[in-house]
Amino acid sequence: MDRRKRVVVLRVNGEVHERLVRSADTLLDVLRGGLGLTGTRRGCDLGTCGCCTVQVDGRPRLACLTLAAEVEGSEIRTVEGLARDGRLAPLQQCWIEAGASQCGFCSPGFLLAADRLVREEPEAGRERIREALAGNLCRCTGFVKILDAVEACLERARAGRREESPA
Amino acid sequence: MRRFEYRIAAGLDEALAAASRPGTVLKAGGVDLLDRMKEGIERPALVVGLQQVLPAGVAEEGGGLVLGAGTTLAELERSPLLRERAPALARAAGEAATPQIREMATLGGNLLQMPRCLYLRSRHYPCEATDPGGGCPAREGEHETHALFENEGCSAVHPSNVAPALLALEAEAEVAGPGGGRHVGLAAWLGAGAEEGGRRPGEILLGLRLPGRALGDRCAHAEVRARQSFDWPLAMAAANFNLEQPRLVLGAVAPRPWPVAAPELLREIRERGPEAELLERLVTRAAAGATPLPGNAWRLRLLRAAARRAVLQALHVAEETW
Ligand SMILES: Cc1cc2nc3c(=O)[nH]c(=O)nc-3n(C[C@H](O)[C@H](O)[C@H](O)COP(=O)(O)OP(=O)(O)OC[C@H]3O[C@@H](n4cnc5c(N)ncnc54)[C@H](O)[C@@H]3O)c2cc1C
Ligand code: SF4
Repeated sequence: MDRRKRVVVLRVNGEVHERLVRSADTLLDVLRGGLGLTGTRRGCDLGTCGCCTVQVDGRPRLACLTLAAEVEGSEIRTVEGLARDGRLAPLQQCWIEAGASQCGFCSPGFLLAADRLVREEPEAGRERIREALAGNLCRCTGFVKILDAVEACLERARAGRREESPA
Repeated sequence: MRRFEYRIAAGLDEALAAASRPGTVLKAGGVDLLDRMKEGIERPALVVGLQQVLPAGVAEEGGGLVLGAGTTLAELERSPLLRERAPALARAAGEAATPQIREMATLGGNLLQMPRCLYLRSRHYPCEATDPGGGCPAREGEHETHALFENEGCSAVHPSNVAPALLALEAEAEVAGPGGGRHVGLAAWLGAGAEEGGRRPGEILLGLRLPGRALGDRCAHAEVRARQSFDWPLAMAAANFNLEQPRLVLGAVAPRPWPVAAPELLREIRERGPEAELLERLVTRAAAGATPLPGNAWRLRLLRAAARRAVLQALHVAEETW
């Protein structure tokens, strides 16, 4: 067999996939090509734009600079994995309400970077949101609506918790 | 990317053998390496992953700290131990690149990444650094972000965000090599000091040791960028006043991290505080000997600003407007 190819087993959004890939294939190549998960975008393909952001074991990473062969055994999450049982995640809902997508090309990458923040830093304010999204570029919105969407999502979750356990 | 074979080294011996084999490259986080391979300036037949070989994490040892070369910049940024005992380094790591890249990039890879000269990173230009005698297109062309010191030959700056802080913390490198392992000052290993001991072919960086004497909250890292975040520093500085002999090291201004030789001035500042006149003398000393190129002399002011900020922050003095 060509030693520049190998079989990899990837866990993506909770499902296990086995594929024959080239060693040179990035996670982005395999997600889009092999698995048909085209929500993860190919932007600059050099680590600059953040469009290919996915989560590997809960941490945001760039799929364009990750070899498919090295994330075997990890839990990979893409934008297709955010909705549950046909219902959009609260973050996605806030995205729509705030009008945070225009052409939409960069949205998946932003969502995966923002999802980490929403899960791990429920008290985050505007400044932390800006820092967490600093690796994602958007050329339509001017960023303000994107920041608004994430802020609204965090705010809504905080309000929900206050209702559940009033001080 | 061109096709290649990929293997994960099972042990250090395999990694060391790979490090000396032509056509083979070592990969840590891969951020720099895959970038270069995609640009077509690196075309290896075999890529060997170091993930099972490089130690990772921050730990206390003998009053100091040890950092595995495989620790990511994000782990350095988040480490409570580092934030408390070497805040300059946690900050330097946390200000590099983007959150996603910091999750992938390792400490070792950050120190050993290829410089960011745009000619060097394009396969369309011959240049002195890869092709001795090829000349330097940057000299006549784009060199705004190039070196202010030691720029007679190749003027691409040492790109690592963490190197100045590590040198200010007197880091010692633990390296493995074809002839065995050794411990060597990081400054010497990176060719940034008077001492001998520079990097030898085939050596792998395993980790760094920060001595207890350098640790504490009187150290700081400051950088000046064109944008608030996600931008390469135009000048950076790390100051450490925890040491008996305080240190100031600049970055992004020379082909290597750039220690400022001003021992008496730094001691005086530690004793008397950062009085305006002393600080002025220090930043003037920091810029002394610079040989800027026509398009980058303006960065001398940024160098002075970075040095001033690092010193003030290390001494916990609020920055006055200037
Ligand atoms: C958009 C963008 C912005 C960036 N901004 C910044 C910035 O602001 N500041 C900054 O400092 N960096 C920045 N970087 C660069 C990035 O931080 C480096 O590419 C990264 O740190 C390299 O680490 P790595 O682990 O991915 O190295 P790799 O790509 O795996 O390796 C880099 C090189 O070092 C060698 N190597 C790696 N580890 C070892 C070891 N332990 N022993 C021996 N050799 C080894 C490899 O063989 C390779 O040649 C940026 C990069 C991008 C793409
Ligand atoms: S500065 Fe160095 S890397 Fe850049 S073109 Fe000149 S010789 Fe090449």
